[in-house]
Amino acid sequence: MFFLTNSSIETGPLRNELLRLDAGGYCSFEGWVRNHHLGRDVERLEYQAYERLALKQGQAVLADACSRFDLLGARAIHRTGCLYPGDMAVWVGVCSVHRSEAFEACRFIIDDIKATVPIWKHEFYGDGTDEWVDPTACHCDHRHISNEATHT
Amino acid sequence: MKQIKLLYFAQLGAQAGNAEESLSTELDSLEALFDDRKTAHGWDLSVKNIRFARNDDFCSASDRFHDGDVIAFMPPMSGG
Repeated sequence: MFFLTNSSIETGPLRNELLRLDAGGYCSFEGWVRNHHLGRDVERLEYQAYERLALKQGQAVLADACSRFDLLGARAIHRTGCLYPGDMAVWVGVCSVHRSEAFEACRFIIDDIKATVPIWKHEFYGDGTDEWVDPTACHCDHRHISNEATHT
Repeated sequence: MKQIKLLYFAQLGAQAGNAEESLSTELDSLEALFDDRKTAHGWDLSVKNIRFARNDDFCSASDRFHDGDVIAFMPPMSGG
């Protein structure tokens, strides 16, 4: 299941939902808010989502991962609203019979969420300016997927 | 003449001064509709950077729209 929330993400219950006796491996990813971006001090950020489509697309990403990697379970949740450095912005968790599928699926899911789920990041900087993050305008050497950068 | 509702996200909504807009139009394609609204609102993103949705489903710029549709213009996504 894919969720959106405007509250802090509590990972314990999410992990517990993936516990299974037939699972031999569990893998999770946490995306955190950094206090800097491209050399600028980040004071806070706000995530905006196209909620109806984001829930639909997020679910499609998880379903795709389950079929590609033969997962026993997959969950993901993304924050909306105002966040500060150190806050968790996104969490992904998967379980599978063997560890290899869990590692690969976790990476696949976070990359696909970033590239295809309609969520946008509005950053507010220490110098009083603000900017909607546009990964297509990024001049960095991170790995890019489609029109999206893997910056988390 | 078609009556439609437009949804603008992120910098598109900020630059338009509104996240939603109702519009009467004789245009047919989403690409033409985006170009029309780009001129109206002074957006700097080009159509190749935009993803489109019609009635809460992704669609392509070449798709046509119909009376009563809800159309979304989405700049490059930046979640995560």
